[in-house]
Amino acid sequence: MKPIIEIQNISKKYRLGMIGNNSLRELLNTCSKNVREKGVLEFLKSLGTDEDPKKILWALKDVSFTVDPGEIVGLIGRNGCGKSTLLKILSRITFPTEGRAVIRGRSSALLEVGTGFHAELSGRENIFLNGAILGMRRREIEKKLDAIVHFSEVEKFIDTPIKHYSSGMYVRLAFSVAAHLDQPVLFVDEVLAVGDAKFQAKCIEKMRSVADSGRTIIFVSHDEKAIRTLCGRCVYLRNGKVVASGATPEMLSLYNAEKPLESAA
Amino acid sequence: MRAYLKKVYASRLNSTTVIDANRKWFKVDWVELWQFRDLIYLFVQKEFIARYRQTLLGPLWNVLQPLIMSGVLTVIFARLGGLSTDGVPHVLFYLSGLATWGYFSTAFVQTSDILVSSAYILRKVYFPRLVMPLSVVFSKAIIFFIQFSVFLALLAYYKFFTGAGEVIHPNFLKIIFLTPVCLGITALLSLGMGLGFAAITVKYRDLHHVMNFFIQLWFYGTPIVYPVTKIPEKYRWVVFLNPLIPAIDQFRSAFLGTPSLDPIYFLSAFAIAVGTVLVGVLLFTRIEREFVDVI
Repeated sequence: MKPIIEIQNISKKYRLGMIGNNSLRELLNTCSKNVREKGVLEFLKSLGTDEDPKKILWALKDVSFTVDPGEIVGLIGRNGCGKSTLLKILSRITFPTEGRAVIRGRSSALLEVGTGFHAELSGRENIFLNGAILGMRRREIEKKLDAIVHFSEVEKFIDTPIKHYSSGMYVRLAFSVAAHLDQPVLFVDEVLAVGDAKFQAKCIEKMRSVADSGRTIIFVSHDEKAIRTLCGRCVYLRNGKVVASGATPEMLSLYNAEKPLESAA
Repeated sequence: MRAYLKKVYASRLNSTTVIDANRKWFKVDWVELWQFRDLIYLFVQKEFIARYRQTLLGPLWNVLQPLIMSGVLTVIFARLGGLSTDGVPHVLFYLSGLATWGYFSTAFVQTSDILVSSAYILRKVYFPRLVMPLSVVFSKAIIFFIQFSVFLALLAYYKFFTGAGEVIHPNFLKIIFLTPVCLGITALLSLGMGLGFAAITVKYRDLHHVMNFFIQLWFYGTPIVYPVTKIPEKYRWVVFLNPLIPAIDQFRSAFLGTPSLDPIYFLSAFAIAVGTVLVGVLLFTRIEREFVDVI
């Protein structure tokens, strides 16, 4: 069987400093500084190549791994290790500088819940908008509307503009839409449990059943307990590279062994 | 057609997505865009609900605004300034220009800012980026049709119930064949300009500051408060630069029977509008792959 997700030598380069060219003056300043330092000819040559090693950050370097259908894979690593960048590349929000990824099936990304919620729209209208943003058709959302509303526990207020919602009601509704996506491949970032303790338990329960339904999920979280209960396998990233990949308990202990050293530094 | 699209759609459901660094110059996935047509609809719906909830008059504002504007223009330019309106009633003359102009300017301004103003969504989720500008152009088109029906009602009133009826000569052939093209030119131009400006604004916010000024200049460079015939013969070449001139000119001439420009201007306006969209889409698809890293 072919792997459902294939990640092949993905690298992502960010150019620091280049991003800040927001005004003409800054642009001219950098240019004139470069011309003074290097001379006109060298400067013109450098325009094509622009490789100043100090100004380059490789958020991901040569990351490769595969995921089989039905697997729940956790991405672990410290802040800034590239987990979120990888998830953003897989969900096509940003693009890799090198390498490629193949996803065999419809996918959706949950990098936050309630993306595109509009305060003036009612709960029901927001379900449709948010669902469509996440890649569902209107017909599909209609079929799931009752389930979504029921899960969110905001039945009574479903036709009220959500600006009148409490923050708890808001996140419950947002999570419910996300939890009812039916794409076979999901990329999930930290949006596992929201609301009060009781609703959080319900969220974990829902995620378990989503995980058991045979879907493929790549999951980023700092919550070790959640990783332990959901993911069979983990990929451990450090400084944009894959350190190791394997069964969850081993990966977590590897990760925990690294942590105190790094944070002391 | 429907059956074909259904087949394509079904085959895409379980299709393979390849993500790589490949940068093609002109790459629009039309099938994918079609799959997201519901999202366009919902964005349009959102635009209307969000805009008119908690207003007393609701969409009626779209009717009042150009009417009030026409009144103001009548006082300033026709009465005080003594500018001719080609002999047709002032309100009809101004409204015919304002409806098209309003469509163009609102769609253009909103599209040009679309990547920055909706960055909070685009940073978190993927959908074909063209969905957002398209939904702007569609929602503004609805407003145009509301204003257009007001214009038609007033036109009927003046034609049949006032003495001015004799100077208004609607040309039905032109109405059927030319006005849809006028609307098309306006829509394409606002989309194309909006996409191009949106792409550039991502990197250089300067354009954002220029916008207000630019739109005002364009307003006076377009025959809304004055007839096309006022443009002196030796400056006629500016008509080639501004596709809105022939669009408004032909629209007006179709409904009111005012003298119109040579058809060559109309053809060139259409060609420019199509060209603008091609360039706009090109710039936009270039930037949409990297703008999340820049914004």
